[in-house]
Amino acid sequence: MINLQVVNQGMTIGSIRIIGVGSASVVLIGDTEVLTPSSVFDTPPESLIIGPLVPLAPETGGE
Amino acid sequence: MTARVSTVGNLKVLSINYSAILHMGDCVALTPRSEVLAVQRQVSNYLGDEGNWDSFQTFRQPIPEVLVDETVRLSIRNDSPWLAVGSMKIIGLAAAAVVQIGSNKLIDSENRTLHIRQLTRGIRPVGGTPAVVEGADD
Repeated sequence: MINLQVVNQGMTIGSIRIIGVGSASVVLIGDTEVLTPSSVFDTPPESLIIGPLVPLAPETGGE
Repeated sequence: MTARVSTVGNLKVLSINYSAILHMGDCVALTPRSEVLAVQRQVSNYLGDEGNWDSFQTFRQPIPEVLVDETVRLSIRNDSPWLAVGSMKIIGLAAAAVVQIGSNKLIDSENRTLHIRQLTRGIRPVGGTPAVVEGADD
């Protein structure tokens, strides 16, 4: 059993400067209960294709 | 849980794209999803209907969930109800990102990105360390 007690004092921030928020990231000025950001980023060796330009499988009927 | 009150004096966001969310105010749940197939070709030739999501493992594989098997007794006391920010400047939001000024119960964001590069000639890097493909005659 974990006992967690949180006391929030006043929070005042002058300024926030962010270049980018990307790939399922979260910036929250507020309260939340559940937070599950997930991201899959893949550049596998197979993703580098050297040779004649073969188109990718079409959107439908490709399987 | 009694949520606090968020205030932002000045907000500037230059761009929002690809299922990103900028939310001002409270809400119950935010669940943005984005799936990106980024194809770069040495020769710019795109048919327009390419990209079958199901044929790539990146878009099919399930994302493991965290199992919470422990009871947590949480007590929150808000001595001050204010969350005050003077000014906020963000250049870009992208790919299922969330910026919220306010409170919520749940955020479940998901992004899947697959990069594919197609070159007509070059040498495949060996050993895994080099990331640059030198253009070379075979």
